[in-house]
Amino acid sequence: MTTPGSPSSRRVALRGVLPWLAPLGTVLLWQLASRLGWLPGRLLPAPLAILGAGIEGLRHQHLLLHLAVSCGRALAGTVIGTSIGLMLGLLTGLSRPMQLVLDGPLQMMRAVPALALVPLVILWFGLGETAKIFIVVITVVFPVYLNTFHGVRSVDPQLLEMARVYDLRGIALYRHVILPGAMPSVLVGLRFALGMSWLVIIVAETLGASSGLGYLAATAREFMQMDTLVLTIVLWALLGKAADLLARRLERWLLPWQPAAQRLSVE
Amino acid sequence: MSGIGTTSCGASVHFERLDKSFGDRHVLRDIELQIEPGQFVAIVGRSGSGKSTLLRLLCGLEEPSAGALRVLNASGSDARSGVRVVFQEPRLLPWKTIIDNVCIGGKRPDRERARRVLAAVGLTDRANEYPGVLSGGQRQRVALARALMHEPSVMLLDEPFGALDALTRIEAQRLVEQLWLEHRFTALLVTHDVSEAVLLADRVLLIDEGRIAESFEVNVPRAERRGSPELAKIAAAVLDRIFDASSANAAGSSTNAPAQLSISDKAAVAGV
Repeated sequence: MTTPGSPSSRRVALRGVLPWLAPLGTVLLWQLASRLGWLPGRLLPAPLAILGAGIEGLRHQHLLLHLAVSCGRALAGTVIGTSIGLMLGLLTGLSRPMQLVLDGPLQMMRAVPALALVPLVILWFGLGETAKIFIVVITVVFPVYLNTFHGVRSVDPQLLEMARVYDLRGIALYRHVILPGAMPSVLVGLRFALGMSWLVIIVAETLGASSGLGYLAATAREFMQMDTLVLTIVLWALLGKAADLLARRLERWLLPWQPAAQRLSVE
Repeated sequence: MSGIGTTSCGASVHFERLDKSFGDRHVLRDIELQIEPGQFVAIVGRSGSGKSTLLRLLCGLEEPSAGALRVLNASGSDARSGVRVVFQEPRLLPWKTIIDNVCIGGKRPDRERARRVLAAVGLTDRANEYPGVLSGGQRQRVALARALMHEPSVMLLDEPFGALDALTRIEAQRLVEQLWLEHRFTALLVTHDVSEAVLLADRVLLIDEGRIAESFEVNVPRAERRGSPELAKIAAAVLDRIFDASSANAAGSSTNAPAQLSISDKAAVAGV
C-alpha cells in the first residue's frame, strides 16, 4: 500500500541501505587513505589493489578452485560432524543410562581444542583430505551434540504429557514431538558449528596443504604477496557471511512454524 | 449443524474406594463415584482440593494408590482408550499446522474427518496455519477439535476456559455444550468457577480435602439456564457449601470476621 516517497517505504529503503553503510564507508576511507599515502601499500594494500589481485587470481591462480576445495572440506566435515553430534545428542537426551555412559567422556573431549589435535592428526592421516575433514568433524560434533542434548531435554513437558494422553509412543513420539521440539536448539548448534568449521579449515590448511584458501594465504605470506594475503582474509569474511546466510535459510526451511520475531537471526 | 457424522456414545465412569497419595500427602481419599454414560458432571472445589488429580487419574497420567477406576462402554468392556482431554492450556504442537494437530494420535489420519471436526469448532479456514498465529480462544477450539477427532467416549475438561477472556469464555462454553449435546460423550469438567459449573453440568460435585463433600443436581432445563434465578440459587448453595466446608476445617473459628469475608468472596466467585 506504500507509494514511493511515503514515510514507510522510505523506512524500508533505509533498512536495506543501513547494513551496507559501515562496510562501504570503511572501504572508501581505506582507499582514500592508501591514495593519500597514509597507509603504505607494504603494510596494507589498497582495496583496488586487492580487487586487482582477485581478478588476477581468478585468471591465473585457480582462485575459484582453491575456494571450492576449502568449501568442500568445510561442508563435508560439517555434514559428518552434525550427523554424529545429532545422534549422540539424541542418545544421551533420550536415555538416562546413555547419558551416564557418554556425557562425561564427551564433556572431557570437548575441552580439547580441535586445533591442538592438528599435529597428531597429520601424523595419523598425513596431509591428505582425511586429516582436514577429520579436524572439522571434531570441531562440529560438540556444539551440535550439546545443543541437541539440551534441545531434547527442554521439550515442553506439557506437550509430552499431551502426547501420552493422545497415545503417541515410540517412533511417532520422536518424529512428531521430540525431534521438532529440539530442532530450534539443534539449529543454534549447527549455526555455531558452521562458523567454527570455517575457522578450523583455514587454519588446518595453513599448517599443511597443497590447495585451499588457507594454502593460498600461506604461500602469499611466503612470497610477501600482500594483496593476495589480504584478499584471502576478505574472502574469508565473505564466506563467513555466506555460511551465516546458509544457516538462516536452513532455519527458515526447517522451522517454518516459528514467527520471524522468535528466530535468532535478524531479518 | 455441521455434523461430524458419528454415533459415539458416552462411557460410564466408576471410582471404587479410590485413594491417591503422593508420598505421605493424601490427595484423594476414598472416592466412590459413578457417572452415567453421557452425563455432564462438573467438579468444583478450592485449589489443592484434588479435583485435577481426579482427571489425571482418569486419563492415565496418574495411577491410583488404592481402589479401582473403571471406564466402561455400553457392553461393559473397558473404554479407557476413548478418554480424551482438553487441558487448561491448548498444548498444541507449534510445529504442526492446525489440521495436523487435530490429526495427532490417530493410526491413519483421516483428514476428511479432521476437516469436519474443524468445521464444527468454526475453524475450517485456518486448517493450514500454524497455532502461533491463532488467538487464545481459537487455540483452545483446536484443542477441542483434537479431542473430538477420535470419537471420545469420555471428555475431560481441565479448566479449559480458565485462560480465556470473558466474552471468548462464554463462546467456548456454548461450543462445548453444543458439541456435548450433539455427541453425547460423558463430560467431566473441572472448574473453580461455580457459575460455569451450574451452567453446563447435570451434576456438580464438590470436592474438599480430597473427598467428595457433596453432589448437587442441576435440574434447570438447558435452554433456560442463562440468567435463571433458579440456577443462581443452586450456585449460591454450592458456594455456601464450599465455605461451610472450609470454615468447618478451620478449627474453632466462629467469629464474625470470616463470615463477613466469605460473603464478599462468594459474590466474587459466583460473578452475580
